[in-house]
Amino acid sequence: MSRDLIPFILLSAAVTFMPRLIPFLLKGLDSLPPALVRFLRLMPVAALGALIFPGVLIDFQPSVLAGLAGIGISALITYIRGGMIIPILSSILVTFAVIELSVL
Amino acid sequence: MRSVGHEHDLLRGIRSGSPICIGYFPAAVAFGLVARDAGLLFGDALLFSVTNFAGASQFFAVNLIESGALLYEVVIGVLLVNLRYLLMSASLAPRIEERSPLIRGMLAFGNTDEVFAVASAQQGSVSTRFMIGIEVVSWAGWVSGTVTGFLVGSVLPGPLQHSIGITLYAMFTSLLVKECRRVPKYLIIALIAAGINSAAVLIFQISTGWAFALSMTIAAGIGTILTTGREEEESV
Repeated sequence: MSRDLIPFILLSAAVTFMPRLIPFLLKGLDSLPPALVRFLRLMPVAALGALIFPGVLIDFQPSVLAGLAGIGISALITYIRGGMIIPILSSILVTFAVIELSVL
Repeated sequence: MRSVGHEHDLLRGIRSGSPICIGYFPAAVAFGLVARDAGLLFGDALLFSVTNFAGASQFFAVNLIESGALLYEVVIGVLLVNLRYLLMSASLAPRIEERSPLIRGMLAFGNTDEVFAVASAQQGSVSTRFMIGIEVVSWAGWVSGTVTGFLVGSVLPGPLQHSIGITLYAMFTSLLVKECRRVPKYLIIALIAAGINSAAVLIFQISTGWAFALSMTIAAGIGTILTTGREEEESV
């Protein structure tokens, strides 16, 4: 990667730190309107949806199936037995297998 | 009670933080792998984990950087992902005993989702030493995992490296499935965000950073109308 990433990293750090910091210095933020509280709480879930699609379809072109199979196995194993390591490792193996098979 | 607790509190914090450390380590290994795969230098990946100390948003930032997003797009996206910390800090901050703004600021730095959850489970007020213990041990897990992941990535055989790209999505999917098990309605919100983002990027060719901000805000907005708040209360 030829870009200088230091500004990206430090500004990301700043906008991560700010929302953590502000309530530690100001008072009265623990009584936000309920709708706003719900909105902020839903942000991470909405983010996850947008983080997965369409990225997982684009990154494994031309083998779209490889990405889908990978997240499919991750979802399935997480649903059945929880955890995160086994789902992730399984998805690497499944994705690897699908890519290799589609090359043949 | 407080005079007895000083040294104890630090140890108690470290003990309470150990499960977080153990949980962070593999997730950070994944970050190290993904960062290396995206073309980041070792120093970049390390600087990310040392200064950001954030899970999802670090992955997200690397993903955007890899796709060629501009600086302000990355910053706005990261800010949106992390706005939730306003809530967590607002809930925890009044219970922290520390008075010095400088030290309060330092404690705020390490208020990740997991640190917040464990610290919030404490009875009564929370001491500075307890927070230092829990945050330092968690941060150490995150940083050492990143280093390990990056180094492991450099010894993986070539064909396997390409499939490492799935790590990121596998982790997001795993997180999402956990959230949806807790509150099934969340799946609808995630799907709305996924749909809008896909349409924005694939059909309307909007840049990834803006598409992300847009889809996330609309989906969370729709979700705010669809949910009553009771779902979260029942499950927390």
